[in-house]
Amino acid sequence: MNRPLLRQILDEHFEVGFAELARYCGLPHAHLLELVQFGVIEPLAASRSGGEADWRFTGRALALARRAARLQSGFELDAPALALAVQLFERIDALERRVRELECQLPG
Amino acid sequence: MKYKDYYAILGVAREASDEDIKRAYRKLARKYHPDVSKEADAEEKFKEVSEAYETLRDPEKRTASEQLGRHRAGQEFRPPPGWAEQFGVGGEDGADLGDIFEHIFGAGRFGQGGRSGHGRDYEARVHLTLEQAARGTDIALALPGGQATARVRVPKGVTDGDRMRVPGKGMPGARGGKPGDLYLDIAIQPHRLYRVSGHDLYLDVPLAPWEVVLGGAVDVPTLDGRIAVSVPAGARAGQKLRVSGRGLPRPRGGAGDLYCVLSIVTPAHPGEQEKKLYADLARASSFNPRAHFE
Repeated sequence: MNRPLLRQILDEHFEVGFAELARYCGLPHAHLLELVQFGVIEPLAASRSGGEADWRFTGRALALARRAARLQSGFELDAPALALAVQLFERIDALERRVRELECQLPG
Repeated sequence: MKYKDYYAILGVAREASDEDIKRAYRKLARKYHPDVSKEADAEEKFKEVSEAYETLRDPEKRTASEQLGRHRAGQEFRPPPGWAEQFGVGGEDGADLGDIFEHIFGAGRFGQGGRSGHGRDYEARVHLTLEQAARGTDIALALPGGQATARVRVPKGVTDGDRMRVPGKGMPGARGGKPGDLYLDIAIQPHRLYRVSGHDLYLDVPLAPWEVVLGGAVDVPTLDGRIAVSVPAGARAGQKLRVSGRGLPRPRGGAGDLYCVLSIVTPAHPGEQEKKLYADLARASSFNPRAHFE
């Protein structure tokens, strides 16, 4: 478990349960559950076999869930559309990261 | 307090139907939603648009806003006597119209609704210099509404694209409620020398032709002073030399790497002596860089 820290970097060392994830991201419980069921937000592998109460999520999942919450409230998306939008955003992020990484390697 | 013309913000007429309001909002949301928009002031614009939509989509709030009369946007005005009081809040000067609506009707879908008096979470992007990220830094962030400043220590080890959660440093709570949380999106400003990728740094190292041919030690700057890097004889332009552990520090110890990206540069105005030596070299060398054209 996390000690209550003053500040937390949302990386793979940051861990929360499903209830905290829901509270921190502000998404309706049912929406968040659907995103997990769609495989958009994944619990840590070791906790995946259990039920909702056993699930553990990383800081990355929290950042993703908060983005989902922003998109849901901003565009009034239902769960399947939200899952699709979040997945596409993730892909854009990954591509932009890769472009930046390659640009770094080119002599400026 | 300052008047906000919610109709003008959404670009709809006063007699707009619910459907018109929704359509106008959706169009603006696509333009200014912070996850979608690349515009500089998207975040502020989106907040304004959301607040307008939240007010006008709700019949009760829309009526309450109409009771305020018509004023110019941004104009200082006083609500009609008893307007705020009928909802059990004061309409004091300096209050924000959006905050008052929130007090009256509770937070909408935006932010952390539902928890009574609980302050909203606040998200902000912070731009750090590379040096600040490497050493850690204290930042002071003015929260909207001028009510509070969040002071946060950003620990060393963060890098571009990292996100931080700072519990209890978001918007203050109302009626003794707990403050919300602060979420920081870390961005690193472009640096004069280094390019940042994760915790690795890339540094262009220009070399003279003879340094590339003969190899040797070259002094390069790092975040902790200069070090000598050994360039192998026969190095190529674009080749990367990895200097282990000289990148940005990681949050749990250790550091990324520094990559020296080699390039070959020639003097723009070679002297007569230099030109002569190159001419001698051209005559003496049997090297054909374009042998594969044959």
